[in-house]
Formats: sequence, C-alpha cells, structure tokens
Amino acid sequence: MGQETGNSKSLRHAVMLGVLMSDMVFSLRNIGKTRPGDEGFRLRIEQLDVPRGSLLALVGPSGCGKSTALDMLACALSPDMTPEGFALPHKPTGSGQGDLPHPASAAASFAFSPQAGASTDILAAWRRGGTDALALLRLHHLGYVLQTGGLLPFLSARENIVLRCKSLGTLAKRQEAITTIVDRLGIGHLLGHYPATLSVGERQRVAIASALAHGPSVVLADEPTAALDPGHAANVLRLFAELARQLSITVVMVTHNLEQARQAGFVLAPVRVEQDKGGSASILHWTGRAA
Amino acid sequence: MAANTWTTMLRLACKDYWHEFLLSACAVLGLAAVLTPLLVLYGVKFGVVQTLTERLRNDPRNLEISPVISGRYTPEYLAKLAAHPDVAFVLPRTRSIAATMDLSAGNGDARSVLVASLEPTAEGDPLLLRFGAAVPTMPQSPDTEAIGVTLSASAAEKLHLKQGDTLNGKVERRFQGKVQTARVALRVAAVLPLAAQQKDVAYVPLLLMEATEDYRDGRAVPELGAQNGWTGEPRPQGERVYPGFRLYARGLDHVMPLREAFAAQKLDVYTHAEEIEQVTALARALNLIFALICAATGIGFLASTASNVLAGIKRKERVLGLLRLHGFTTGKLMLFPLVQSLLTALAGTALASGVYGVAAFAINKLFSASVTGMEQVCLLLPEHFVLAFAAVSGLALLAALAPALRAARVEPSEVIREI
Repeated sequence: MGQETGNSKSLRHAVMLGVLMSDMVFSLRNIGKTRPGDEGFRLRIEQLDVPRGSLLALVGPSGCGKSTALDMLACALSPDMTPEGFALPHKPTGSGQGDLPHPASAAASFAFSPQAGASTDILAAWRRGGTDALALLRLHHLGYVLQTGGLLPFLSARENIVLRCKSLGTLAKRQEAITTIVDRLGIGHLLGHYPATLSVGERQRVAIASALAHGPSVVLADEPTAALDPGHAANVLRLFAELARQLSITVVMVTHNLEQARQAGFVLAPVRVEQDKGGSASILHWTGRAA
Repeated sequence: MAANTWTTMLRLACKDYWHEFLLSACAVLGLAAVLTPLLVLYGVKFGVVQTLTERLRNDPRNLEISPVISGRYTPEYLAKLAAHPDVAFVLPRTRSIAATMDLSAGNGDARSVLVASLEPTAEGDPLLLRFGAAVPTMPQSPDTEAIGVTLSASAAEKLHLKQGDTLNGKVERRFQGKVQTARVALRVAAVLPLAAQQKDVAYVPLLLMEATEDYRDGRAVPELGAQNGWTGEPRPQGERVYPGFRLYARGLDHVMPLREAFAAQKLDVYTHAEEIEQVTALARALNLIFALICAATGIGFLASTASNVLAGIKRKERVLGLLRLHGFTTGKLMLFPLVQSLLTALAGTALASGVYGVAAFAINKLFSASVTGMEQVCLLLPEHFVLAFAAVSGLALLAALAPALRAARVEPSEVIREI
C-alpha cells in the first residue's frame, strides 16, 4: 500500500476526534498562526478542546494572539499553511530562527462540531479553498461579538438583531427567542435606533442580542465589555453568560478582566508566552478542564 | 435559504446606499452631469437628421424618378419596372408636346381659360396620396359623363374652381389642313395644395392622356365620342410605345440604387439623389462624431465608476468584513457593490433623462420657428432611453466587477477591528 495522504490522514483524525470527543464543540491540535512585523507574534494552539455549553475565556497578555485564535475558531482566518498541509513548521531541536517549541504531537487537526456527532474538518475546508463553505458554517452556527459591537451602521438595532435570521429564513421560528433575548438585555426601547445613536453599552447589548438571535452553537466574543465602565461591564457580561447558559450556547471569549470573567461563570484558559530562539511564542494548551 | 441570503444582501446594499444618501446623491449627480449633455447632443443630432430625413421622405417628389430624354418604353418594360422591389409606383407618360389641354370654366365675363399640362395618374399615386387628394377616375361613358381631374393649386385658382366643380377640356389639332377641336367634360376630383405642385397641371387618368396624344396624331378616339369632335383615322394595331414615365422609389434609400440601375442601362434620369445623399452624408458624419464622443465618454465613465466603486469598497472594508464574518458568501458580497453601482446608474440615467426633457423642451421652443408641425430639433424616442438605461447599467456593472471581486476577498480578521 502507498503512503497515506495528508488529506486522508486529517480526515481520519477528524472522524476519530468526532467519535472520541463528541461533547466538544471545538477540538484543535497543533494549529499555528504567525504574524510577521514589529507587532507580530507566533501563536501555537497545541491543544484546545471546548466542551459543548461551556463558557471559556481566553486570557493572556496583550498582543499574544488571543483575537487571532478567536478568528481562527470563527473560520475567518486560515491557520498557517505549509507544503505538507497545516501542520506547523516545528522541529524538535528548535535549531532555526522562528521555530516553535516542541509540540506534544505533530499532527494538526481542527474539528468543529456545531451539533453532537456532526463534525466538520476545518483544515480540510481551508485546504480546499472553501471559504464560502466556511462562511455558510458561520452563518448557521456562529455568533461574533466585537469589542466595538460589530453592528452594521446602516441597519437599526432591530434589523441588526434579525439579520442572520432573515438570511436563514428562520425569523418566524426564532421570534419568541429573540423577544426573550431582547427583554433580558433590556434593549426593547432601542430597537428602532441606529448604532450611531446608541451608547457603547447599549451597542454591546444589541451586539450580544444579534450574536444570539439566530440560535448559534457557539458565540465568539472579542473583549465584549472592554469599552464599558466596570459597573456596566460586569452587568453586561453577567447577562451574556446567563443567556448563553439558558440557550445552551457555548461561548469562547477573549478578555483581560479575569475577575469579571470568573464572576460571570467563565472558565479561564490561559495563553502563555514563552521565549525561544526565535523570540517569544504564544502557546495555548487547553484540555477542556481547568487545572 | 439561498434565496433569502440573496434578497437580504440586496436589501442591505440598498439600505447602505440610502444610509449614505449624500455620497450616493453625489455619485448620481456626477453621472447625470456626464450623461445629460450626451443625451442632449444625441437628441439634437437625431432631431435634426430625423427632421431633414422626414422632410425628404414626406415629399414624394424626392422619390420621383423620370427619364431626362424621350425613349421608347413598352407596357411590358413598364410592368417589369413596377414589379421591381425598389419601385413603389410607375405610370407611362405620353409625349409632352401632346400632353396639354385648354381648360375653361364659367360663362360670359366669368369665363376663365387656362392651358394646363397633363400628367397621368392612377390609384396609388404617391403624390396624391401624400396630400390626401382623390384620384381622378374615368367614368363608364366618358363621351357623356364628366372625366375626373385633379388640379394643381395654381390651375384651380386661375380657373376659380374647387372640388366637385365642372369644367371643359379642349384639344386642338391641325389635321388635313384644317384646325380641328375635340371637347371633353371634366369634373374636379381634388385640388392639390401649392406644396404639391406649383405649375398649372391637371392630373388625369392615363386613358385621357393617351386619347389626347392620339387625337393630336390625327386619330379618332371613339370612347370620348365622335359627337365631341374626337374623330380621325383609326388607331394603328400593335403595342403602344411611351416616350417617358413617372416613377416613385419605395423609399429614400432606394433612389440611389434605382438611379445606378438606370445608369447601367445608359438611361439618364432626373432624381433628388443628390439632396438625399447630402442628408445621408450629414447623418453619417454626425453618427461618427457622436460615436467618438460616446466612446470617449464611455471610457471615462468606466474609469471613474471603477475608481469610485473601489474607493467606496476601501471605505466600507469594515462593513464588508462584518458581512463576511456574518457568513455571506463571495457571490453575495460581490452583489453589494454591484447593486450600489447599478442604483447609481439607474438613478443617474433617470435624472439625466429628466434634465434632458427640460433641455429638449427649451431647445425646441427656441427653434420652434425653424420647424413645422410635429418636427422637433431635439428629439429622443423611447427606445433611445431604454438603450441609454441598458448601456449605462451595463457599463456600471462592468466597471464595478473588478472592485466587487476585491470586496469579496476582504479578510474579516484584517478589517473588523478597525474603527
């Protein structure tokens, strides 16, 4: 028999992961991303397992690649590609400049399971250049909250909230859930307003409603309360976490406010920064259980 | 689901276009500013050429063809001419020296006399049709009943006649050393306006023309009655041969080919081909000039639209990145700038059409003294507007295509965090 190809290897790996880790929404092994330049970094996700329904907060110093990790989870950013596929350019000896620390396993995998038992091999999708397939995956199963809301400026709060539902044709089905979300976030009176006329706190609450409205499996949030004062931030984060739990939605959040995240019920997954010959490298190793 | 995302993106593109009302309005005004002069220019070009062409077309005399010198044309030859696809109407002419008649009307002091040229006519004569004049007919008994005649305006004026009036026709000859006269009763079938004929002409049935020629040749015309003086020798047996004919081409474009066909037969003919050619050459020259202007404008429009759309995409990178992050696919993202470019094209063309309407009204008012009836100096037909909308929309979409591809390739991770 000939050698097993990279595609079939990763597919086999994804299937295996799907079987063994059916309770994981995300399961990543040896995924990396390098950002060149003065403000660049080298991020390596050695292992990241996100259990379904969990609230996970990625924490670490500024510029370590937390937002990049979030974008990769959102399938909006391709992991680094090598001639062999997506496995990182690792060498056990770490002899060359820019090499990363020795990984636990060389095989790269990235499985996204929006529903239990239905796993998608994200690396294979990237390899096929299937950005549209990944976009559709986002539309159906992901929500995203940015530090500044990420609302479309030409749509009212109501239109922003129902945008994905309209695209999916599920507005009628989701109407009751949307009403609940809007009531819980206390933004009923803001629905006719445009983002430019909302305060930052109001905008973030609308953004959270927008990310939850279509009933995604996962919501990714990039410092959703960073622009708010501490009082408002704690309140918004608490509401966000409560709604996610109530709707059984997994949340992966990037934050610098560890205490606030803990109080809201998030489990902290640290991104540690290590030095090697190539400089500093950010490493994320999270098995799905707090140490 | 696919239909939902398409319509959602369509709505988003329109919403954003409306949201940036001021910028959108500027783009629309910019397009209208380029397009309006072009529409007015084409309107004037089309209006002037159309007016000149219509004037030529509406005057059947411009379609008339007749031999310069007398020839020998048999009925068979004339029948072949009539069957030619470029020929609308043809009638033989008798010798011009024999084609006159003394016309008189009234009695006593009110009696008027006129020597009129005779011109043959029949059903389908374009000259009479053009001016709505009745075609004169031959009665069943022309020896006792009046024969129809259509008079030119000057002839009718000199004889103080109007439609339905009767008059007398007299033909004289010198035969066997004596001056002889034949008479015929006539009734005015119609009076042609001055624009149709300035000379003293009577349009009569061909049979009366032939009778007049026969009589002058010393022959009898029993159909018109010996009692009326139409006596003489019997007509010779055999086919009649005519010295000329009056022919009308089917259209302006057919005059020149017919002239060339006659020239190939060594037959010189009178035509208005030169005047037609002048207008055709003018139209060709104006078409060429307009095509050059259009090409230059089109290239400029393509370049400016492409750069505007590109600038718009650069400005809206974050929005496009957010839409990509929401899950809109490549095609839908491309739709965003394409729809907005199309909206500018449609609104700009609509505005230009409106401004053109005002300009055309002013121009036509200004030059109203130079035109008659329904003629317009500045004129565009509905199909011209349809063409303008289609051309501008097509160019706008073409210009926005490459920038739209760029829009679809926006990397969300690189733009969504920009403020």
